[in-house]
Amino acid sequence: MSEVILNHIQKTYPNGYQAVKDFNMEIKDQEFIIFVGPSGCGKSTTLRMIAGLEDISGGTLKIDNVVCNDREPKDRNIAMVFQNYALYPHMTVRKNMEYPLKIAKLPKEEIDARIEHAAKILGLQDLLERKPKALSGGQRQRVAMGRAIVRNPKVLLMDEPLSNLDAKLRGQMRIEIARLHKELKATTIYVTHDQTEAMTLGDRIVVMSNGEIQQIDTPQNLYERPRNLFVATFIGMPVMNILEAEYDGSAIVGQDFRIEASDPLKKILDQQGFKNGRTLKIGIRPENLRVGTKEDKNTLAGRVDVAEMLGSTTNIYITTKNGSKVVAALPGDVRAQTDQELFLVPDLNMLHIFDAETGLNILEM
Amino acid sequence: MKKKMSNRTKTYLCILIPALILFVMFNTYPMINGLIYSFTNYKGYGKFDWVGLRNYVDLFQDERVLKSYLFTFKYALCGTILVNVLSLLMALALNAKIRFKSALRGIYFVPNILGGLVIGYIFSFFFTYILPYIGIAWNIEWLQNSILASPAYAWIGVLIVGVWQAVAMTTIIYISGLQTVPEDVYEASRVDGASKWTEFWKVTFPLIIPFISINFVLTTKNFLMVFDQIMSLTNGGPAQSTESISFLIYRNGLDGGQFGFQSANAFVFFLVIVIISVVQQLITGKKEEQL
Amino acid sequence: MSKPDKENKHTNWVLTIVLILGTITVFFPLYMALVIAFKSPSEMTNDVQGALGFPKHLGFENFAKAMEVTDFWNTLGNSLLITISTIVLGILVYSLVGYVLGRTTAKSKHFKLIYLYIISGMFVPFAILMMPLVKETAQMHLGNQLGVILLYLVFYMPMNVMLYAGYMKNIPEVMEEASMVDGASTWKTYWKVIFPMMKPMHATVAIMTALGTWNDVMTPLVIMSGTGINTLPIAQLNFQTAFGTNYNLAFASYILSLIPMLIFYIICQKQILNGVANGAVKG
Repeated sequence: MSEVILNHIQKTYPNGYQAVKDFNMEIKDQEFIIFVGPSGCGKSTTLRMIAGLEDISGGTLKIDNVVCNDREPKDRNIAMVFQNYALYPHMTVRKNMEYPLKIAKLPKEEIDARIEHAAKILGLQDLLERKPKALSGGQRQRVAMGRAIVRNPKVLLMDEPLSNLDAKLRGQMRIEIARLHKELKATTIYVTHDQTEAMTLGDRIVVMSNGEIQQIDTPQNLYERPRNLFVATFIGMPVMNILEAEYDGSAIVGQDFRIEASDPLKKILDQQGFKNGRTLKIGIRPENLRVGTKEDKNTLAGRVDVAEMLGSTTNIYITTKNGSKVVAALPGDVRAQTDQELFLVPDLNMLHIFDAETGLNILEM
Repeated sequence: MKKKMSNRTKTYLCILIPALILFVMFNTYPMINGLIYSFTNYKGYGKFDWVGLRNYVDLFQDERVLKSYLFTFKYALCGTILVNVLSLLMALALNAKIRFKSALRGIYFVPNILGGLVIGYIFSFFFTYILPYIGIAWNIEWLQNSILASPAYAWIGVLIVGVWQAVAMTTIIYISGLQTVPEDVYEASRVDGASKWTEFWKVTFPLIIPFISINFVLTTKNFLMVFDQIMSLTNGGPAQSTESISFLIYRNGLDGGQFGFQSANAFVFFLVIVIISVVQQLITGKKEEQL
Repeated sequence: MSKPDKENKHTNWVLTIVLILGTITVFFPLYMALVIAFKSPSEMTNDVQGALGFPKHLGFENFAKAMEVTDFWNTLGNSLLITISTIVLGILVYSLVGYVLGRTTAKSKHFKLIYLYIISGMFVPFAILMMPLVKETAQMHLGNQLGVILLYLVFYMPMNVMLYAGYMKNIPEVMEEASMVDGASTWKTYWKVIFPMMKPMHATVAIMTALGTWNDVMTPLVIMSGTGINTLPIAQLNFQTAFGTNYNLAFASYILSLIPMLIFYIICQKQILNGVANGAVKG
């Protein structure tokens, strides 16, 4: 069992800066967990605390039910893939992979067998006698992973392993990593700032910002039921449209739109006391807008600024009468001219409503 | 929660401590020892008495000591200037578009790798015999006596040898410096129509100032500490006219029963070197700012 | 990127020739020494021809005699022993200390203090340590090659530690982290990962140390005086009187003492020039 339990983990630097504030999570055996968030949100710091490369300022870390706060990295049965691969430049690929196994004093046959196996999985057989400087970025990436997996670790940690690769390679490696995880059956914690990687690879995702956890959930839930504005606008491309609004008792009213509230919705809004002019923010994803006509109810109207034709979809950017910017992701056959007047109709089932002050999604409270 | 750092720190300390012990034993301790002895009249053996600052006072009145400082300063000043001017020229030449660049650079560096002592012996023969022979053969009066036999001019002989050997190292440093000037800067200057002279003073020179300062500090320090060549060329003579400070400290301190006295000399010497180095750094620092 | 179109077409021949002629200043003393070393005393007439003329026959008797008189092979052995030991021990010690200080001075005031303390040793001229060290080494029975080696180790420590510590900037800390995660202790990480990565600096340090110690006169003179143990330079000094006025013998001995370094230089010339430039500029 390779469970990882983080209990009130926090990291404060000597100068007072709090990189991680109160991180709580239970990671199940063999889960693929992603830490995602913008630069400086604390995801790498948390990963490094799990690895043992940073001291834990407060809280307890348990791996496999053993408290590991003060344990050396080598005693935690973890392996790590670094962002810049950190391959030993003076050793061949084979020697790079042998290094941890030799330290663990494994018998030669075992070492050779593991390297063979890892090389096969990662396609490194022909590269074993080369030195890192003779390898391409993608190949170095795989060697770095090879060095990690030959140790059969309980927990596999990855710190933005794909961020130094070009887009196409990144796409290919993502699939490799997913495949690897199934083969390895190791608990994996993966740090990235790229939400596509996060959404495609993770069983569960931890969205972080400013050292705090915003939401821990499955990709699906993060997408459909974001807990707050940050998560809502972080997940999903193009970014969710956010517009200011107020509730007048029967409808949600913004500068450019008026949406009748359904009865269940009215109940929630009244319950939480939104009637007296407290501002709301409504969110509607670009993919949940469709083109309508003037006669439709609840429309968002505006003039087209730009139409991005991506083939399967067309992203249309409009500016409303009062200057708000709205994006709609429409089917690829939709055409639009600059300055054309457009009426967009939101799918009311996919409407998100946030408390403008707290940023929280009032429908998820 | 600090235990992990400690483990690494422990290893670090285990590495540093033996090195530090060695350092203290063979550097700091002797220095302090020397300082203490400088306040005594220790002869190098036997008993000795505390004499306080008398050694230091005597230093400024001892003719031989003063003469050695004079010689050493004269030597270092001329040496530094000569060496740096020559090396800069050499470096410019060796960095220019010439053929056999690496072979030539290799050859010109040879003087530096040869032992100062032996070079001194070789040049001693040269000054004592060869030059006079030539003087006699070609009827040049002033060459007919060995320069090393003249108390007034022997220092020039030593200077020639010192410069001969020192130019090599300084040239290498200047070459490195010249190579840091990017090619495009010269191209731009050519496009701007600058003559070679202007180009040197306005473009090259300012960009290599850090190297000039390094070289000045290094050459001065090395010339101030001259010892090997003195041993073999003149042994401090004739008439003690070429005794460098290091030489005197060695001669009288270890062989001449002036352990305590020369220790004081050594300390003054140390201070002189530090002060000169610091002053030099300050001056070139200001120059760098100005430009 | 500017194309080297003019590079090879504009060779400055004037300068080239001037420089080639200038090499006389380097070759002449050596030629003179060589020529004298091969002659016999009878050929040494008191004129230019006697001194600079080519010897009648290239006899090696002078060299054989010089080797005998100066105990050449033993002296060579001592020089080699001292220089090589200093280089080997030096690289081991300096790189370790440089590594530790390279990693710690930025973060810890205590280590920074240690660093500054060691660096300050650079300003202490040997003259000041000379006399007390003579006493100290005599007392500790180190008036021998070992004493000289230890002194060299300490004397060259400041400069080399500074070089190694500075070089650590080229080795990212992530190397140690990866090695830690792979299970290695700090000590093991150093020898298996860091030390091999310092190769260029090892070469520079080896060369600077070799040049410094091989020709050094003061230290062995002062520490081993009277013991009869000689290094190549000291032998020249001590046997001056044994040579008497037999310059041919003396010069043969001088030539012999210059040969090892010349051979080393010819073989490793490129590395030496690079190493020296490296060491001087970074130091």
